[in-house]
This record gives sequence, structure tokens and C-alpha cells, in this order.
Amino acid sequence: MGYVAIKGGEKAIDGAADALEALRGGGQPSGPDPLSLDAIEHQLRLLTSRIMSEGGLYHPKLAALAIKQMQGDTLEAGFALRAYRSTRPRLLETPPQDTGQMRLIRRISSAFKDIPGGQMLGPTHDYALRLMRFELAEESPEPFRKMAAQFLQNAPTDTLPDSFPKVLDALRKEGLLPPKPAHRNPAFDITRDPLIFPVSRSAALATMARAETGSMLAIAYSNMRGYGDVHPTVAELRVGYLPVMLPHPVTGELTEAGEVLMTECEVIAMYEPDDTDTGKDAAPEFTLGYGACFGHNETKAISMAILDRALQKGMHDGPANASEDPEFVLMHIDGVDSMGFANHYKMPHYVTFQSDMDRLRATRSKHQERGQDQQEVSHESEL
Amino acid sequence: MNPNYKLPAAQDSYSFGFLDEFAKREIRRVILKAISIPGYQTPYASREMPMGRGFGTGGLQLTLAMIGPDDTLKVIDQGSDDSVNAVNLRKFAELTCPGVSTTESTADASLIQTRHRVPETALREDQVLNLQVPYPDPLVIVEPSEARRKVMHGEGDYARLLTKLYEDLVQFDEITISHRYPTRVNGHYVIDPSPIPRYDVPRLHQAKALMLFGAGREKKIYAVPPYTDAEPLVFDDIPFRTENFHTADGKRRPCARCGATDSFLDELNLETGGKAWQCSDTDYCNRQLAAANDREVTP
Amino acid sequence: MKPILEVQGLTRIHGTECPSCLDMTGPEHNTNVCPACGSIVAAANVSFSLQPGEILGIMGESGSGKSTVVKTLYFDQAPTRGKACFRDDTRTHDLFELNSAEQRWLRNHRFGMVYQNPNLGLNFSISAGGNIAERLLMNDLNHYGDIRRRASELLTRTDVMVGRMDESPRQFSGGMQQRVQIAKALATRPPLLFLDEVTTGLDLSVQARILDLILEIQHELDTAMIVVTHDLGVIRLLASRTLVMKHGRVIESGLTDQILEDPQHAYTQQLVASTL
Repeated sequence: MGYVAIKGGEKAIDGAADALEALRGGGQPSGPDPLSLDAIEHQLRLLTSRIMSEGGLYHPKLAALAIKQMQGDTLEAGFALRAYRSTRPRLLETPPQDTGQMRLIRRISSAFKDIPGGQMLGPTHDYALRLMRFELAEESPEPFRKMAAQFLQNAPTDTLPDSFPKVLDALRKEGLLPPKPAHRNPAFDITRDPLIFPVSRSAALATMARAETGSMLAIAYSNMRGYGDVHPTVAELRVGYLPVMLPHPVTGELTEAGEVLMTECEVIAMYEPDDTDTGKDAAPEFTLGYGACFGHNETKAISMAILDRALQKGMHDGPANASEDPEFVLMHIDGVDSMGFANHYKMPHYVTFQSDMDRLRATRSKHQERGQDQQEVSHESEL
Repeated sequence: MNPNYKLPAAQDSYSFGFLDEFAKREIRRVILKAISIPGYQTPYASREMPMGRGFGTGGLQLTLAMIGPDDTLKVIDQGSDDSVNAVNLRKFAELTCPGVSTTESTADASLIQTRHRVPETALREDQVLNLQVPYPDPLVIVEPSEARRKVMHGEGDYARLLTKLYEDLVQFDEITISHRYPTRVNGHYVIDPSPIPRYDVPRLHQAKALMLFGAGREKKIYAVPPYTDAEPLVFDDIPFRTENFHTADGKRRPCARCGATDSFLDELNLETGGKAWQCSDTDYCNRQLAAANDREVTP
Repeated sequence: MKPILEVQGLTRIHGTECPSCLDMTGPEHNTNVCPACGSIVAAANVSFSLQPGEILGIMGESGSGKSTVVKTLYFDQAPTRGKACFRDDTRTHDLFELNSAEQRWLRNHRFGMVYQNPNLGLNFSISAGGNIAERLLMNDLNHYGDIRRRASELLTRTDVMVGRMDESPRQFSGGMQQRVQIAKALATRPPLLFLDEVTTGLDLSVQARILDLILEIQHELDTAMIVVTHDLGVIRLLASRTLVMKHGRVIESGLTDQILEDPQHAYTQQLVASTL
């Protein structure tokens, strides 16, 4: 029996796909109806948000499809969206968008009690008790469908302006923040250009905007806990619909092409005493961290803002810890990269393991020759 | 989003080779640069592919950027055309590159995508080998920062890597690097030749075929062009050793299936408790077997 | 004989410089912090020359700028301004005009450095021999047997037991770590060696043996050295000429014997008197 079959890969793959599909069906003939994309997009809106931002593509329907197809695996769903994105050509460059024009559903500031335009708590879990609401287990469709309509009916309609001024603008006017740079470098496109370190802040922001939420939270949290010293205050966190302005194909004039749901967070950190760049003429200023992502995902926007501040410090003074090291942060927060590589270890590594065994055997036999190990006996039997 | 929007019903609108044409053009430009600077890890904006990072997305982007309807593609993993990942990648190429033919024969292929092996059959000038690369940089074992590694490569500063080999010899009397053996290309850049066994490293040296290396996750492409030096990093007085397939009494083990004594062997644990050794390159094994059968039939 | 090293106007200022920096710091102001802008004037207008095979001492207390001088010459720090020419056989290198690759080449091939803290000069994650091997490998010695031989010769020369060359220097005593650093620095037979407080913190008997070793090496290899120390004893034993620094300025320079016998500057007089 000298021959071991190595055929069968194709059959195995087909079988695996069938098994996966069978589980997606729930496994019972009398089971529930298939999920509708509409239900996923709206009832799992935060999941859809997360997939769009990690997938780097604003497309709620496709995100919902990815969630359905991947059976709720966020990493796989974001990945599928990204892979789809690879097939689409880039038709034009988006000019910088003004988030001051956002149609807000929520905005808060933890820096000031009163902000121009006022605080607006909006839809948030922050102060909701995390008690299990058992009544949702058996929900009847009629009242469920009426909830939104009732909310809108009771909501005041005339008090909300279309847009709110940014909190930071007020601080800038007071001179507590550095003015916006007069010259803006073109944005770095991470989908077209490789990251070559050292990278620009724009490249770092773009990488973080589509990073995996949990990975970025973990590194930002390390900074908050003490492996770093950004002590942030949330100047403004806003969630809302940003009108996307694109140049008109004929006139070139900026025209609203649609709107995207975004979360934006700006944090202020204490100024850094700086012995190299600011002379005695420069008055101390606050420093800023910026975070923004597609959809409604506050954890991600806050983590990003803190990391942006930490990375700016690292780029300036050299990294004092992991969260200030651009290479460490930016190379380890991408969900597609990290989950793919973690999973690739399941693939066959016969050849490399053969090679490992060869080295181990060679060094063990050298070890034996040195007379330092007498117990080494080979039990190899050969056919 | 427009409430009347409907997703397309069928799988259409994928372009030939999956990637959009701009992406393919960029990859081809990067390949040309990689060939021009042998062994230099050329950065590129690696695209997400519909299979996991680490499953060959770098090699696949090379293949898809270069392939045309007249090409004949062979895909192997661990030397085998029929291992799950090879099948998966080949099926994907068949799906997205209509008109391209696929083969299991090394000699018939114009383009070969491989993971962990260089085929036993010598390659020709009209063939290209695309190797899938998990870790492109051999210096990563001595220097974690990519920015610093880039400077070291630029200055040809490999003293720390050689010091690692020195330390191995001091500690074990042997260099312990088993695969991914650091290899100096064209007298300057040292590359990670992907996780091929040491057995395959000499095949890169002065090869007739173009050898391309694609690291999708790490976003690098590099090349060993045809007729270019590729020498494993060693000391002048310590020979480079490939995997040993000799028995305790010094006889070269033959492949248990085809009898070849000049191929890289997989070690198999048999259900009966013993071991057997067999060619890792299935195409080569089949060919040897067919040749042996021919000899028996027509003596 | 032409000097191996000529330094002119070497200045290193940390912070944003202002026009008052040089006028308002120094020994006469008793500070190296500029009162106008807060910048630190670590070294200002340091000039000297060094002959082949000569040992020059730079003496001063901490903060005097003595370490700054060797750190800029060894390219650990960039100077704010100044010029330094290194004469190597027939070629002259204008040190601060070289690009960083050329600087690293000189550092690896033609200079040697022994730090006060062995952590800076040695890699503790590899063996003592490996530390020396790394330096030999930078110099394109690529024969394992030759590297082993040369490393054991160097360790023998610096009185490190060859039997311990395959151990990590982490396990060595402080004196032995300095010997390994010296062996490593000498591996390429550099014509110029920098020694930064190499005996500080060691036992007196260990200090004496290391100083002897440095003198022997200088006699055997004719290596030019710059010895930075706050220890008058080290200066007395090693240096033929000495610079005395305070608050970033050279306040006195000349033959060591002369400075010790007949110090001119009040600060030097105080130093010499305190050790008598």
C-alpha cells in the first residue's frame, strides 16, 4: 500500500458549499421564511452600517445581501463587499465634502453644555437599560409596522434646522484650535495607492475609515487605558445624512448626487508641550483627533478619532507605544487582511512542514553527535 | 438610497479577469517595475479578491492581470493540481476568464500559479511562474518595522540576517531556516522566495522562465527575471543544504508511487502505522508513472 | 602628520533657536538654557583636531555637552551647524555633508563606539560572539570559520573568556559587557574610536583593567580615540590632550599635563583641586 489518494479536492469543495447552503436554509422544511434584504437593511441597521463602513462601499442593499449570504458573519460580509468593490472602476474623484451640511439625526458634545444649535440625543442605546425586552420575542406585525409612523406623527416638525454649525468652528473662532490649513493636499486613495511608510495623515484616516471596528477599538482602548496618553474630550459627535456633492458631468458644477448616512467624531486633546516646533511666540493650543465612517457606528468613529490623535503624536515625536505607531496601527486593523490570514493557516502546509521536519531531524542528529543527548532514538519504520 | 432601487438579478457585469481594467493595468505596470529591479519588493494597491487573504490573492492578481484568452493556466498548491485551494483558484479563473484553457500538465501551461512549490519539470522561456507569497520580506525576522527594512534593503544591509544564520550555526550546528530561505537576487536584494522548500531554491537561479512573486495581503510584487542569479544566503564555508530524502544508510528514497529519485517527496503516515514517501508534484509523478508503464508495455 | 579628524564650530541646539541663544548661555551665564526662547544649547562652537593614534579627552560634568560632541560625530544626533572632516587614508569625508547611507557606512566600517550603557552598544538577544560577527558581516567577511576565529581572537584580546563567547552578554558582569563592547568596536580595526564614560559605574579594580586595555590597544593598533568622561583619573591616565567643557562650551584645552598642573579657568581649577 504505497499509494495514498490525493484526488478529491473538487468534490470536497462542492460538498462544503452544499452543506453551508443547507445550514443557511435553517435545516427544517417548516422553518422560517428567508430573510428579506429590506428587513436586514432596516431592522439590522447597525449591522448594515458596520458592513458598509468595513466594506468601504456605501450600498445598503448590497450590504444587506452580504449579511444574508454570509449568515451574519461581519468579517465575511465586509469582505464580500470589498471584493465586489474590486471589480468596479473608479469613475471620478470625490471632492472634499462639508459635514457641516449634514442632515442630523443625532449630535452631542461632551465639551460644552450649550452648543450653537443645541444638543440632540437622537437614536442611541447610551441611556437605554440593557434589560432583556422579552415582549420582542413574540412581536405581532401590526403594531411593529406602525411604530415609525407614530413616532414621526408625534415629532415636532418645525423646530429642527436643516443643518447645525460645527462645535469646532466656535473653538477656532476663539483661537483655541489651530486654524484650518489654507492649503489642502489631495486626499490619499488607499484603493489605488499602496501604503508606503511613513504615510500621510490622509492615508491613515482613509485606512481607519474602513477598518474593522473591533480591531480599532482594541488598539484605541489600549491608548485610553494608559498605553498612551491621549485624554480626549468629545467636542462633537454627529450622526446624519451627508449630501454628496459631485461635479456635474457637463457643467462641472458641484451638484448633490445623493446622501450617505455617516457618523463623525471630533475629539480635543490637551495641547502637547513642544520644544521643537513652537517657539515662545506660539500660544498653547488644543489638538484635534478626527474620526468618520459610513453608517451609524459611534464606537468606530470615537476609536478612530482617538487613534488619529495618537498617530499624529507618533508621527511627530516618534511612537512611544503601539497606538502611536502608524505601522503597528494601520497594518493590523484591516478586517479583510487579518481574518484572511488567520484563516489561511487551515490550508495544507505539507511541503513547509516536511521542510520543518527535515531541519528538526538534522539539528537533532547534530545534537546527538555532540553527545549531549543519549535518549534520542528514531522509531522510524519504513515500508 | 432610491427606494425603487433593485439589485441586478444575475451574476453579470464582471469584467474579464474579475478586476476592473484600471486595476489590471496598474498591476502590469508594477510587474514591469519589479522585473526591472530584480528582487525589489514593489508596493502596489492590492485589491480585495473574493477569497481570503493568505489564500493566494497576490498570486491571483498577477495571474488575472496577465492572462488572456490564448493562455493555458495551471494552478497547483503543495505541488498538487487537485488540492482544495488549487481547485478553488482554478475554478475562479475559469469562471471569470472565459476562453482561457486550464491544464494539469506543467509542459502545456503558459502560466502557472503555485503555492509552496516550483514544479519539478524544468520551465521554459515562454512560461511564467506566479508564486503566492504570505510574507514578502526576509528581513522581518530581524526587523519588525517596514520603514527601517526598506532602508536596509536599499543599502544591501543584510548583516543582521546573516548574524541570525551565524547564531543558528553556533546553537545547532545547522541553519534552521527550513523554507522561505533568504535568497539574494542579481547580487543585491535578498528576497523571501515564498514558502517553497529549500529543495526548490536552486531552481530560481538562472531560470529560463520569468518568476513573479505576489503578496496580496502585504501588497508587494517582486520578480526573479529569466537568466538572473538567485543565490541562497550562506557563508562561504557552509554549504547550502536542501531537504534530505536519504535513508539512514545513505540511499536516496524513491517515490513509492512512480519510483522517481529526483523529486521532492511528501512523507505519508500510513494507516498500517508505517511511512511512505511520494512525489509532492502530482503532474511529475503521473508522467514518471506513465513513462514507466510505457517502458513495460514496449520493452 | 595630517589630523585624522578636524572639527570646526560644532553646535547643537535643542529647540527653536533664537538670535540670543549663543549670547545668553554658557559658563559666564551659568546655564545652557536660553532665557529668551527656552532652547537648550547642548554644544556651541566646539573646535578641535585629532591626530592619528592620539587619545583626546573631553572632560566635564553631566550637561556640559561632552557626550553631545561624540554623539554627533558618530551620527547618533545631527548637529545644528558645524563642520567635521574625517581623513581616511587619502580620502577626506566632510561628515555632516554625507547622506545617511554614507554616514552609516562610515559608522559600520571606520568608526567604533563604546557606550556607558552596554544596552546601547550590544544586542543582548544574540551571543557575545554574534555581536562581533554582526560587525564583521557588515564588513563583508563571509566565511563562518574566519568569523569564529576573528571573534575569539578579539574576545581573547579583551580578556573575555572564549568559552563564554556563545552566551548572551546579558549574563555577563558590567566590566565584561564593556570588554565585549570594546571587542565589537575593534572588530573592523577602525582608525577612530569613541569612548563615552566607559568605566563609569564599574568597580575601581575593573576600571583599572579596562583603562589598561584601552592603552594597550592604542599602542598596538595606533587607534585614535576620543574619551568622554567626568573622571579626572581617566583623563590623567589616557589622554595626551584634553578639552574641558561647561554649559556647552569648551572653556579650556591643551596638553593634559599642563591643564592638570596649571589650570587657567576657575572651573578647571575647582575640578582639579577637588580631586587632589
